[in-house]
Amino acid sequence: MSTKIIQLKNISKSFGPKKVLENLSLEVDSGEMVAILGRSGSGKTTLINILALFDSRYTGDYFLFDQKINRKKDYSDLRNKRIGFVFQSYYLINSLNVRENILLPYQYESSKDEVDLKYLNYLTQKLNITDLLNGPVNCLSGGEKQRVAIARALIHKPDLLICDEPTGNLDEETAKEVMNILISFKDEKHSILIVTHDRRVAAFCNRCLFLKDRKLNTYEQNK
Amino acid sequence: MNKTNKGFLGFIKRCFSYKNNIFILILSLFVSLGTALGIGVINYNQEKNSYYYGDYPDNYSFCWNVDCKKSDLVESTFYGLDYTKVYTEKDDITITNLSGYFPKTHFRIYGVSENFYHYPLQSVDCDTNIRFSNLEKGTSFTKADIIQNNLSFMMYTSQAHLFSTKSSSLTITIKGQNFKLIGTLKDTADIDRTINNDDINIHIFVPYSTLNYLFGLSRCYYSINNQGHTLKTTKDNVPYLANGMYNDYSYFKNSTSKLSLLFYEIDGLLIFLSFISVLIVGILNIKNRSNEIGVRRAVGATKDDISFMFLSEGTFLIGMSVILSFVLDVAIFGIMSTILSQYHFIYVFFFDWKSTVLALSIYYLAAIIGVLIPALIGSRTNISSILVEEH
Repeated sequence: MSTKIIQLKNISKSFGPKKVLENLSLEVDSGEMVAILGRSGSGKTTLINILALFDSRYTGDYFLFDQKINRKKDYSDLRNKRIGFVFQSYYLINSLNVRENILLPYQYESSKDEVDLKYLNYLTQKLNITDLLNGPVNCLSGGEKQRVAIARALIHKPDLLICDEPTGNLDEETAKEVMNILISFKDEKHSILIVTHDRRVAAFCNRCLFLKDRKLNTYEQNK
Repeated sequence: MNKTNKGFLGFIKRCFSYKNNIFILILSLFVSLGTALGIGVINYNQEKNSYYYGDYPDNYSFCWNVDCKKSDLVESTFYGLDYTKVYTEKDDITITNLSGYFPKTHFRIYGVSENFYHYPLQSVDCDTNIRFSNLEKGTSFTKADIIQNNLSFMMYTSQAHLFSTKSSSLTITIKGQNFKLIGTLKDTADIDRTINNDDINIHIFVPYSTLNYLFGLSRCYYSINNQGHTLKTTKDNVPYLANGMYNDYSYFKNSTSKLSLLFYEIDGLLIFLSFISVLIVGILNIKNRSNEIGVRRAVGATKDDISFMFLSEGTFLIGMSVILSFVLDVAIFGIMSTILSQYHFIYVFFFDWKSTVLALSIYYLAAIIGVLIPALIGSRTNISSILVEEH
């Protein structure tokens, strides 16, 4: 039986008089890979900020891992342990090397666990970045940077991976490579939510949703 | 293998990875060094301007308190001389009224000691002769002897403090100038009681004429007790001279006060400007590192973690610059004092670690506030506008 990872109920969000999301609802099951598509200005960015717990100024109910999100709380521990983020611009820290970037979430974990070196090796081998571990991040190619960012997102084995245009800055070949990596992690029971405007990326997902008129609609690939 | 960049080395690496941090370090170093040097000059002017206690100009005696308080100068009275009458006779000093016993010898005033106060005059005479006679010549010292040979004498405690053995005939260096010691004074001596109201008994006495000979009157900063009884008991010319000196002292005190005020203002301005500079650089730092703040928040950093990160970096860098500037300050004062002492400009710089530490602490606190504000701003950065791009 699948469990609900994400449940959005009647979420509304406005910027001044402009309504961006209105009574929006969404459910994502465990192990599911969902793409959210939409045109520019449709509210994708706003939605991902709410889903990632970056933005708490909305109305409606948000249940994450069966836990009702209290908008006054910070949830840094949840972001650290149970959510991984992959961003379009990678956001690697230049003052840290590749290994330190991957292990960054360990700096902020409350339980002070030892680094799972076995899993680190597994991740780096799978992402083919083992040889890069001790090098600086500013010498990496776009594809390598994104693979390092994915490793960082997955180092704590999160239940949910939120990807914001993960292939937005990559060429077609590298984008395909990155998507295949993400699919392989979906198979390991990570739920993946991808926000994109690229239909080829959406084609990799179990389910595609289209954000239009402040609401999410099911998107049929052949459209 | 557990390299998470979490330890001290990781912290150091992070501190020096950003141009703005390096700028804060250099800026802070310059400002704290300037503050420390400034406060050194203030300190010299205000507190440590070589505490001389002026006896009568006529008796050519002058005491030089190496380490005492300002109150020693202005509040002390020279009651010791109430027991005597001191006046000039050619170049010699004669002490009379002590039952006529005291022989006419040169500079017997230096013989004031415990015996002078407590014991029969014969003892005094013996004591002073033993202590201050010119053993080489078998006579008492003349004024010329004292001036040309830079003679001096010190308190018994000073002797015990500086030398374990008898100090007579030893050469000591005071502020770069050599003095030959011709004797010691016991701590309970009357002269000590009168000038040593604060129980500081480390004194070295240098004859006024010697000081004048060495440095000239313009370099002899002194204080005269113009309210003491002693001025009334001296010859007519003494009050005139004494008042002249007092005026000189007043002029010196006044001018140094103005100079000190200027340095205080410069130091205050320096600290204020550095606070503003650190604040601006700190805010720029936050702007430049907004992506880093965002990603750290995304992977689990709390607001406190972010503010602590910036605060710890700033505290460390500014602390390092303060320590470095203290070391440089000591070195600069040492070098300047050595160089200037050769030209008799020995009082231009005066290093006092207490005042310097106080000044640097004030600077450090101001700079930390300059770092704290951007750190708090950084921790409250809205990450939703940083990480997720509009598309």
